[in-house]
Amino acid sequence: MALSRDAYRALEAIVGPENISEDPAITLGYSYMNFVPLLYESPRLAPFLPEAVVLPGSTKEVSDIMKVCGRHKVRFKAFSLGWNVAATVGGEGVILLDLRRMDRIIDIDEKNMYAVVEPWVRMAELEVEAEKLGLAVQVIGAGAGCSVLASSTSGWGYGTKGTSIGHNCRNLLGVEWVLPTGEIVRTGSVGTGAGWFTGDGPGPSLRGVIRGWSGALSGHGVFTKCATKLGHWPGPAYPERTHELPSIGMSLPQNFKLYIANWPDWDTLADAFYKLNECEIGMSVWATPPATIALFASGTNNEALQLMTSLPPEITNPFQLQIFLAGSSMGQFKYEERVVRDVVAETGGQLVPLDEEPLKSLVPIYLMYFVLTPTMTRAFRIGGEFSTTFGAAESWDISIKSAKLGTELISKWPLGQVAFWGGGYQRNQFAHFEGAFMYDHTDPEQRKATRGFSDEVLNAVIDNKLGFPIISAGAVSEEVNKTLSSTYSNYALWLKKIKKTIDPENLADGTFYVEPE
Amino acid sequence: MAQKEELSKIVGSKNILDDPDSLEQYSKDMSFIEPRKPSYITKPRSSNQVQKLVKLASEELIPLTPVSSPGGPRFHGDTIPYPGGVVVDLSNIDRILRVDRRNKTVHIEPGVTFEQLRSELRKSGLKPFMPLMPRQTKSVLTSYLERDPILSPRHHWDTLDPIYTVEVIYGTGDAFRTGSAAGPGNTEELITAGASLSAPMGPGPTDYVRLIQGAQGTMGIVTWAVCACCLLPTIQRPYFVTSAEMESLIEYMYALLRRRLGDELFLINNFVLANAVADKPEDIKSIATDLPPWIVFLNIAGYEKFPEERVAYQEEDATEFAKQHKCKLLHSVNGVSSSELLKRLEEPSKDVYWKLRFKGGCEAIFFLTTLNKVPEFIDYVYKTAVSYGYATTELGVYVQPIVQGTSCHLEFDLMYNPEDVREREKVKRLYLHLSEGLAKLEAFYTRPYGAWSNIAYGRDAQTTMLLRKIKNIFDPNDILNPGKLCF
Repeated sequence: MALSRDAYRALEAIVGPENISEDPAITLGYSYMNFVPLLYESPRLAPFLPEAVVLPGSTKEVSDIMKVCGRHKVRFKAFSLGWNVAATVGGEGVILLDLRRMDRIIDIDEKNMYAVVEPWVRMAELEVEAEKLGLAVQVIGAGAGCSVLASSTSGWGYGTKGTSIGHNCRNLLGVEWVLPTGEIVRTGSVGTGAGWFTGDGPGPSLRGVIRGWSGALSGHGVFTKCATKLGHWPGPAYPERTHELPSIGMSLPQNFKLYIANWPDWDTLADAFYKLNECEIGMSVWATPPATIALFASGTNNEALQLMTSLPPEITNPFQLQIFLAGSSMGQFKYEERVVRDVVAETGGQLVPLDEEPLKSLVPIYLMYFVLTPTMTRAFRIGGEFSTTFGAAESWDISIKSAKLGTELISKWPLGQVAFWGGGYQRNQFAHFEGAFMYDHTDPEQRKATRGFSDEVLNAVIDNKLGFPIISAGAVSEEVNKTLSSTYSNYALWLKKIKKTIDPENLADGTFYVEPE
Repeated sequence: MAQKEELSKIVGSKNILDDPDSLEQYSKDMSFIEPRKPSYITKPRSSNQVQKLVKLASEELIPLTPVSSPGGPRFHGDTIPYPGGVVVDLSNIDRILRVDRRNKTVHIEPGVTFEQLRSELRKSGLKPFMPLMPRQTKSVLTSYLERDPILSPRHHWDTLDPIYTVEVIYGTGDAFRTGSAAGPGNTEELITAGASLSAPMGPGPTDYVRLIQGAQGTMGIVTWAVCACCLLPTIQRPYFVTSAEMESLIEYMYALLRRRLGDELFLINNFVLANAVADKPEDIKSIATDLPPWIVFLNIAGYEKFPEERVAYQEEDATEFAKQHKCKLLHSVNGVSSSELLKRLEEPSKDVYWKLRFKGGCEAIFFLTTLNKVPEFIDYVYKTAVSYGYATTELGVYVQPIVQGTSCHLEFDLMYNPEDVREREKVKRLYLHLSEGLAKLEAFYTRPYGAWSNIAYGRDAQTTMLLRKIKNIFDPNDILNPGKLCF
């Protein structure tokens, strides 16, 4: 269904001919994405291409595009830095708004600890600028190349510094939002011109409509600016980098330290996790599958395999936490060190010695992972794809139950091992623990098994009351809503009404959100 | 009478009031908003009864106004009913359903008060997050739903805190559970499985609880909530921090907030401190006169693990920053001890509510801003007060950093004698003048009670229009607290 010439010309008049294209050589690239096999038969290419790709350069242009879409009944979807299949258009007749021209860090308010950004600001860019001011960003697990705005408003917000900096959906402050009708809403204080410092109020908060555990993925409009709360960075303004690419590391200042500790089983690890968070210590208290360090520190699969086999056995223990301390003062640092040692001993854990090779030289790589997560894409290197399961936002006890169940369930599938990745947010107010596994995306049988395992996990999560899971590809859909709604307070009935209210002409592509009532 | 019979079938005839004294009591509060009498006051005793009341109201188009803290004094006009409507008094739904020590949460109903909660949590080594000396009858749930700021900015990660999840009865009569309390299954099944019900987001891609908080009961009636608690400290070191310059104190607070040092942390003027600690009203002015004009209160606590060490490093760091910002950490100022204030902060306000001790009446103006803008607002309020002949020595100022310091609640307390008609009228005019003037200086009325609703929504037409559409989803017949906010 090609875009009508009238509609094309109207869009072209807004952004200029250099900022619109319907050439398949261009549009194809927007459908070549991670996680495609979770939803479609193809190993990498999603089945639908955008009818055209439009590059607006301002909020006004986005708003004008929405109005043209309204006049010509053209559906649209916004795209920032893209990461997985949920960023692709969900059907025919949809244009894509690539927001790459809106790439400014508008402000970093050093005193009040927040940044205002446009959609194409990468986490790495903001982290580097923030560190110069003694501030830090919650970089999500998908990596430093992701959009700060998308993580906060539309997608996913969990990552390694969650215990100290929080979850990005809760770090969101003021938001500028272009509705599918073209109207521009500014939530919270920014709406009255008072600044970006809060996104809530006056009265009930429209942030509630913007996103929940997951996001709408452009299913109810386009976010063009947002403010996000930042954390404290007690490290140097210009951290010293170590290692040569493809490994990336960071040298440790004297107030930083990494601890890796093992426990005999999930239950003792759970007790330790609760105690460490209760003491409110650490920039990160995290569980990364132990073997992933081999991926982060290697350039090829062979190198990763060699490194894996050379690592001491204690580093590959599955019941492991990595605890990254970053003291604001040496007093705090020493206190936190004492807490770590005491909790580990009290709960039957053991610290892994990190002062000898080969582990010693891996510490800066671990540290960089916790600060910036620059190498997460290595998870795609082994088999071309990975997938993830479980991961509800709930208690750490629910997370541990998920890990036990996941390990048992995957043994029936030809998919190797499931490795759990996650931690607590806001000093363990809630936690999330994803069961990830890698697979060969070129093998139809592996793709089928991946979908089968994901379905089995979804049912197991419901049967065992393990929260609201990360859905395959991380987004809800009409099918998912049908499966889950009645089990979770009939949420989709309200979601459909919200969609209908905000997008009465159903112009925003809601494939990964909801279809209207 | 037919309506009364219908209501009686739901809550029982003993739980309906329509005598003149009761209607009078529920018709007004201490705000400048005109009284309006309801037809009936209902006192449901369960979520189920609330749901039936809302369904009936939705069918019969009966305006409902929920009230959780009827004992008063109430201040903001948000519980003044729609004329001829029905008050839903939730104070009898007052159970503490569960304390979860491991996840530091508590599951409460709307009628639970701070003192009730404090006593119960203490048994588990926990304490509630307190606002500034709430009145004794104050509902914890309402306080949190109405965004009363808590005293510990370090623990205030997000506007929602300390609320995690709720059960709400929407205006359609549908019951809904938010966040991780939504499912799968019922709450008992979730708790048995190990859930904490502490993740506010969702279910799915909507944060339903955010549409409930700050809504003054216009979106739904909350019948329980799961809220955050704090560990009970094993040792505490409270301090007053003083300086000749308020700007130095603000910079000092920024330094602490950045590093999340300390627990309770806020800035008050001498008049608020005097009102907080004075036992007799006649002592307030003399105590205030002897105090420095601006005081930061900082409490450093140690908990179960190495409390002495924790307090020691925080004291050392706090002292170092005090030196840098030319501030002093003191255990007492002119006979007022920081320990005495801490004791009062840990409990609801005793006897006469602290804001009413001085003259019997108080009208507060509060809004959100950022700490660096506080001096500008204070300067404006003081100058305006003087122009109205209002003594600035009788004007309370309270600055509470929230959301870990990204913004702050700034409050001005105008004390007055409510029996003195001229004084009351003067304060009313000053209050309205200040409310408008502060908005021009970019005060953000996140809790737009009374006159503030026109000011706040009048400055943001797009938000207003969208909120009205959203309200129509959850309360299509506009039966829930009509006339409040922009509805």
